[in-house]
Amino acid sequence: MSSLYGASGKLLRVDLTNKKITTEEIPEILFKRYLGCNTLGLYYLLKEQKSGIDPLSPEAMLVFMTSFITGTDGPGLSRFSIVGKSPLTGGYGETEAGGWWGPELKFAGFEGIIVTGKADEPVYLSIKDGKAELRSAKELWGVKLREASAAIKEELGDPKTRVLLIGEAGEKMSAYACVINELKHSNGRLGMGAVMGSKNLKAIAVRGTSRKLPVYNEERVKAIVRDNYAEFKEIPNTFPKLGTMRGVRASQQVGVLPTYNWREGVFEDFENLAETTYMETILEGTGTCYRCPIVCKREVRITEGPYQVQPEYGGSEYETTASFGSICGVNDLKPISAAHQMCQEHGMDTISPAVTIAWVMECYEKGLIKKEQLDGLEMNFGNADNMLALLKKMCSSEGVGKILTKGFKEAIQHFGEDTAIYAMHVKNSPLPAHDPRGKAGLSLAFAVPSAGPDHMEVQHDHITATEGGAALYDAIGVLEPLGSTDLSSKKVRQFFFNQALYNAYNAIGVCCFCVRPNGPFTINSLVEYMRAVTGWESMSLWQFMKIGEKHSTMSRIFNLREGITANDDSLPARMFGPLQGGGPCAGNYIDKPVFEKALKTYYAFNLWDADGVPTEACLYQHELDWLIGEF
Amino acid sequence: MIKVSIKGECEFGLPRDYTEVELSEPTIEAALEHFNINQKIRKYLLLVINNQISKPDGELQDGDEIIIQFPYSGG
Repeated sequence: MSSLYGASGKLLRVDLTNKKITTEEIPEILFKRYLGCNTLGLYYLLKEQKSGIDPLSPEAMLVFMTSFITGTDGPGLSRFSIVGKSPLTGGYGETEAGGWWGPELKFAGFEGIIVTGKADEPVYLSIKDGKAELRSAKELWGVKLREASAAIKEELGDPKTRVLLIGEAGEKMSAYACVINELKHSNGRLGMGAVMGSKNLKAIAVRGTSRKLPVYNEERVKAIVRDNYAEFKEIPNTFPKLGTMRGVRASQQVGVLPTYNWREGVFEDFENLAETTYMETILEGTGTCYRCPIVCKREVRITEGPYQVQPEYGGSEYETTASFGSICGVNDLKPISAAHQMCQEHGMDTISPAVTIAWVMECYEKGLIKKEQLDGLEMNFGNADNMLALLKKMCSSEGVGKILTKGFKEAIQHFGEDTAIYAMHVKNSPLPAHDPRGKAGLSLAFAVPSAGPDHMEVQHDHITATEGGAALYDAIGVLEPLGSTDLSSKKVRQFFFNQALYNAYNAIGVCCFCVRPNGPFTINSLVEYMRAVTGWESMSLWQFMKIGEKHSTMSRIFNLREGITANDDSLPARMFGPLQGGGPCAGNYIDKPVFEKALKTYYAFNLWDADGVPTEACLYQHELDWLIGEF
Repeated sequence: MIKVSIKGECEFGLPRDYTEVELSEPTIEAALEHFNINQKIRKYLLLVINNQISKPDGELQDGDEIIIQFPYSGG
């Protein structure tokens, strides 16, 4: 019997080839060293998975992991990680989602699941109250998410079951395939849905009827939550009303709303995409994750016309709206909502196909890709109907869609090297909807993460450029605001600490929207909360941050083993040229020598050498000496 | 007194479209007072003055166009 608080300490192992399901203990020391979620999952990957394997082969591991505070009473503790080798980048794959599935897995009695092998026919995994079984999913293969999820709940006879599943994109092993829980919450990037599909694993259904997780000091937990809420309520919070959709106007006004495939930073029709239009025309309701006060989710219904949308799949958020909107030059929320729904129905990431379509549009307008190469589709910027037609081909891996969903590298090989300069990706993963030319710290957030460019890697420069925003991070040594286009060594320092913090957030599965400035937790109160849940009285912010740093090194080693090196810590060529169009950032560019110096400084902060390789001192510092000689 | 045009985050009490206002002092603080902006969020606000990202401590000029908003991060 585990003596852990907040966790059962149990890991479920599922060998699909041999239909073998076993349970093992996760030693408490592993939680202390790696916390959970991304970092604990990565520990198992580094320990057990050989380098060089095909990510879509049976020997590939797929790890689903929560943490010791997932599902406890604090706000925003719903998130979990899926980690494995990415079929998109060939390197470390990590993707997070909130929603309801992670806490339910805890209630069902497990912190994590490691899946290996390949079932001889489609199956789903059902876990209820500590027991797990494989069930046939033959009838569900090819079925859209809503119908498949409903069928599983009906078969199991419990509508409170939480279902995580893949769609057609995953079944066909598209490198853009994602994993979705409860139809609205996506582990979006890096093709983890394809890894599930390669294993013939359609879904994982979880249910725990005992809702209470043991905590070390319940009164203290309640007091921390209560005190943080009391302070938080005094700060105006726009999320319940606007969600992330306020990002369209906010990004436009400071000139960093990526437009026409990042050619420009302001979109002339942005008002059509803004939060006000959204609320007035398509919004039906709002949604949230387990025990979350932020309420950032949108639900959309469109009942008339060619772009009908149902609220079961939620609604497009900022990233999806900007990606299918300004980046593709589309100025109407209705086809954007239809694109969002199509992605959800088929289990497809939204950012990746949208950014790929924008590249097709730019190349088409420049005559580099012809209509005949696109199954007859004319792909000018702003052509919403053909954007949807091409997206459908991508979701179903049909025609040209099959080439496009393998990622930019293969698409460039197919269409020609002269298209490469318009491909907005790093490590083969498309960029999220932000522009480093106006937020320079993001140049590192796009270039250095082992899992590719990530808008959730750090707090963005416009927040830390303000006096109040910088002060939020004084606990981790950020004592002054720095300008949003600053990429000096001071900014690298701010980035390094902030990245460690965000890595650590992901290691415990807290949503960064639930930490100030947007949410109730302060950084210090989050650590205090962890102590109250676990009883680890010596747990400190210093230890928390060091585990965040450790994650960067562990994922770096994963990539080095796969042949991904400092040469891949790059930006699309467009970022080194001036941002066109109008707005406050017009003419801005990333200064290449400054960027290259920033990379070297970042490596040095991590105790990596000038080639971005972790030194022996780094490994000893992080208790990773078991990896000496492994890369 | 100076006249400036201001727009910003209407959820925090600022006008959505540029609105001309008279300020008794040429400061951002005076503009925030004019719109009775919550003290708790003032230190987080990002400024664009005449199409340039700006710091809050400069002196405003007659005719300035000012955007005041809560910065947006990822998500």
